[in-house]
Amino acid sequence: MNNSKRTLLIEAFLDGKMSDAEKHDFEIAATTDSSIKEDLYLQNEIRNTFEEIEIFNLREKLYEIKNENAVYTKRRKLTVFLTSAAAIFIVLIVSYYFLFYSHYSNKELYNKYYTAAETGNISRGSDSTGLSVFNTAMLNYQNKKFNEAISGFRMIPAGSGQHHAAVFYTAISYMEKGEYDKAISGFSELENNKTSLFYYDALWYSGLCHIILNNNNKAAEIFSSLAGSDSAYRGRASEIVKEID
Amino acid sequence: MRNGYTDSEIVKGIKIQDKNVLAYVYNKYRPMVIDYVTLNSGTVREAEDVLHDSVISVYRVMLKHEFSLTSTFENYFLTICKNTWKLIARTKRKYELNGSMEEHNEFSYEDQGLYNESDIIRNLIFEKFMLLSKTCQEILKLYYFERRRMKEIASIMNYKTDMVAVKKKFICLENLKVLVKGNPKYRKTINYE
Repeated sequence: MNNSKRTLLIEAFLDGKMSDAEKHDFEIAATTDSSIKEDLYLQNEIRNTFEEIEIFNLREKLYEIKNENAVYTKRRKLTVFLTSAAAIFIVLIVSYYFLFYSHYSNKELYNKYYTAAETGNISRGSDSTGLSVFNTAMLNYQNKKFNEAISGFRMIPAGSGQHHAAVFYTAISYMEKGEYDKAISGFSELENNKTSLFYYDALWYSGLCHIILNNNNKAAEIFSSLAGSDSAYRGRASEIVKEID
Repeated sequence: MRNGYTDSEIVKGIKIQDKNVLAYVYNKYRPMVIDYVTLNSGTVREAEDVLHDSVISVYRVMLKHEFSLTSTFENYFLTICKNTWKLIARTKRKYELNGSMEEHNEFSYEDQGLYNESDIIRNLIFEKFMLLSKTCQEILKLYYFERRRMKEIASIMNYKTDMVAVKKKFICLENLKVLVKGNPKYRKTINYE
């Protein structure tokens, strides 16, 4: 007996559409033929599945919940994936920007690196008058009275032990006043004297003056030289060279 | 969906098949059941079946007799889940269980659900029924669920003659049988019986 015929026969039996004789024959066949027996069991269970109306409805609801849960889980996974991908993308873009495009403007670079020179105990020498003038000038410098400080530093003679300091702080005072050309001019005297205690300081501040004046080539030259030196400005000078390259 | 329900609200919700309560139970116990089943040689999919079948089992108990909890719903439900998995695992010859969900044996046999091999088959039939085409689902529901005559089915489905409906119903039933028989769970359960 083929599958189709068997299915139809079983349906007729279960629907009660068989004559008594047919029913009798079928019942005998169902006990002897294992394929009929198995299909009878299955088709009967199919009917039972549908006939339990309440259970069938419950199964439908649970099936919907399961599917909704699966959709929600998939959406959640997708959202997490997209959010992570977006975050990584943004980080990459920002990093790329900072690596390849983000340069400080000259003014920003200047503000980042410029701090007014500290005033240590630099008053040395035997000229007590000069020392008093120098100290007064330094006091004015500390008090940000730059015009008075410049006047005082100018009074220090060239041969004095405070001369280089006076020249340096005069130039710094000009920087504080925003007169960068005059500052550069002052620093140049020190830059030409490698034995001066202010040699590297003068180079550093002179370089910064060139930055604020947008003389990037000159600034690069000065900072490259500082980056190759063993001065305290070496590291910062290297950073600036990278920025203005 | 609410964040929480009391035990009596859950029992009442299952009795009236409140979808929010059913979803709450499903989502709350899903992780625990998955842990238990996967720890005991099962898969996540089998754990989903256990959860599904256990809710039906609880519902059957509620249909059969006046139901009242003698412990917390959680204890009761997890016991049902465990028993359900035991039966499924037994039919799969995986009856070496390792525990993890606590033992709760204070329930009567009647309260512990009437889950049996027939339920496994019926759940499988339902699962495969949901995979049939919408037309097949409709025809089989009209015939078995609503007990419609072929003439009515032909009319509802806009078929020209009753014979078209008879043929369609036959094809759909055959498809369903093939899907069920093709599932290893069916063979194992039948052989076990």
